[in-house]
Amino acid sequence: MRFFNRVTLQTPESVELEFTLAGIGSRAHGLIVDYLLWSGILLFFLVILAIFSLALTGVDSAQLWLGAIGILGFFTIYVGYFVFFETLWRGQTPGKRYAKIRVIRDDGRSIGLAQATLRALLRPLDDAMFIGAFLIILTKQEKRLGDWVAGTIVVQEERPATTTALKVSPAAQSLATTLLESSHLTLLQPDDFAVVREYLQRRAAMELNARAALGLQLAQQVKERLRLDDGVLPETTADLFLEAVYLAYQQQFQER
Amino acid sequence: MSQNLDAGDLGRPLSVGDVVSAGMRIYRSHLKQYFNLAMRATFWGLVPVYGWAKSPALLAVISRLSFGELVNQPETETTAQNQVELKLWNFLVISLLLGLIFAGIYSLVWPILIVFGILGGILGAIFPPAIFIVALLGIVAFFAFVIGAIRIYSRLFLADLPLAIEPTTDPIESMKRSWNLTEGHVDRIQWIVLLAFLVTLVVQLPVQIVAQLLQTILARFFDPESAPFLLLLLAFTAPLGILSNMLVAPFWQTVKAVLYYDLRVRREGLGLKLRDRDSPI
Repeated sequence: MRFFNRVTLQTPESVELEFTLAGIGSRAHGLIVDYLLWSGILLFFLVILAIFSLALTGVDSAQLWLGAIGILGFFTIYVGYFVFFETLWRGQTPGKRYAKIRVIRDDGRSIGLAQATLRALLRPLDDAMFIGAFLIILTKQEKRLGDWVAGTIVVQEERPATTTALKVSPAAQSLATTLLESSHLTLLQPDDFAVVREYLQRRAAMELNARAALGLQLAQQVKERLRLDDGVLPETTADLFLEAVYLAYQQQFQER
Repeated sequence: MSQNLDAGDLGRPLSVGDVVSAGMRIYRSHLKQYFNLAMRATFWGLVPVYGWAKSPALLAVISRLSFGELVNQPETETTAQNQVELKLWNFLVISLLLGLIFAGIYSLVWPILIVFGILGGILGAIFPPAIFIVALLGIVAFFAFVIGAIRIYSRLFLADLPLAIEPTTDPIESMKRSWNLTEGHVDRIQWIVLLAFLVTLVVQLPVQIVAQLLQTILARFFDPESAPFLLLLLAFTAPLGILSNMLVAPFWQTVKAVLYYDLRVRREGLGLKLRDRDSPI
């Protein structure tokens, strides 16, 4: 089974794009952050209003005006917060950015003022009785009312391919040179290499015993794949060996 | 199922939102089965002693089944239930230990308050402004206590999962595994609990509103202080409450299973291995 809903979109240029939908969890995540910020802004506005109100006590018509300004301001901030950010940041708000999700149009283009406004205007209706949450959980495209009306979907931000340089020990470099000379790295498939890289990238966050066992197992598997005898590389730790394989594999394919 | 398609989903660390979404997705696609297990768990909970072991064990079966889905090795309900029920009594032990731990934590509140009260009294008698300092310290101590309690709760959040999923039969071992797996992830767990709780409101809130409506309607026909009113209210709202709990309980179990899976991916590199060359892709 699939754990996240996916959609394939047809752009106006007839290009097919695949997206992973945001999911109820990430959308709730974004919403909490947005509502925290938004209530902070609103509170600030109300404090300013209260200060004016105190300064103008005794002036009858001023209170009426302040009331009107208060209602207008509340509405502007309630709707404006989402419209402002979703338009300016191409479908993202601070909360959505934090949760790594984005609103796009049904055809994959970024949303504009019209879509952002429609979504914001229908937000109170979606929030009432959790209608929006119901629709997100139960429908295939995870659209709340605002999404239906505006013709938008909420998708996960594409993860940039992790190409950050890995930290490898200096000893791995000389071992990599040995490997390049003595073995056929072409025996290693790209997806094997991806697993080794994944391990090297994530090992720092792993629990020590589990990491040691996993490193040993991977090193063993790579050795088998490269048809290396145990005698070829005596006295190397599993991690060092994997680092060397990583370096050697990279160098071999960069030089071509 | 092609593995390529799911390579982006699985084997990589999940965001807090994704943990909740995946939990919901798994529950949705096994709604009847998991709801049925939760229903049985609820009714067994009414049976003293044996039921108190059976009930958490049945809920743990939901987590075990979900984990099977996540690692792409689904089990039948019978297999999962047989495996879990081999350790039936250990689930009761875990429930009791967790109960004792949390009761112990809460029982600390009063001694702390009393100590600060006495301290404030004595110091205040000698030097009145000291009361403010003691009060301030008391507030700091209160927050430290709450944060500490939340941390312990988060670290034991997965206490029953290793027992249900891993070969271990030792309840203490299972709790230790939860403690070790969750190390350094308390903040993420708190986010997940908060998000999952918000999602459960989708069910809980309408139930609350219906209960409130019933109360208002009944109050028109009966005296709100009378026995028939209270009995009728209970007769209507208790089943509703039990039903909503039965609907929500599997969701917590699936979310816990996804969190357990995600922590094993992060902390133990679960699923990181070279693909078998001989098997057809």
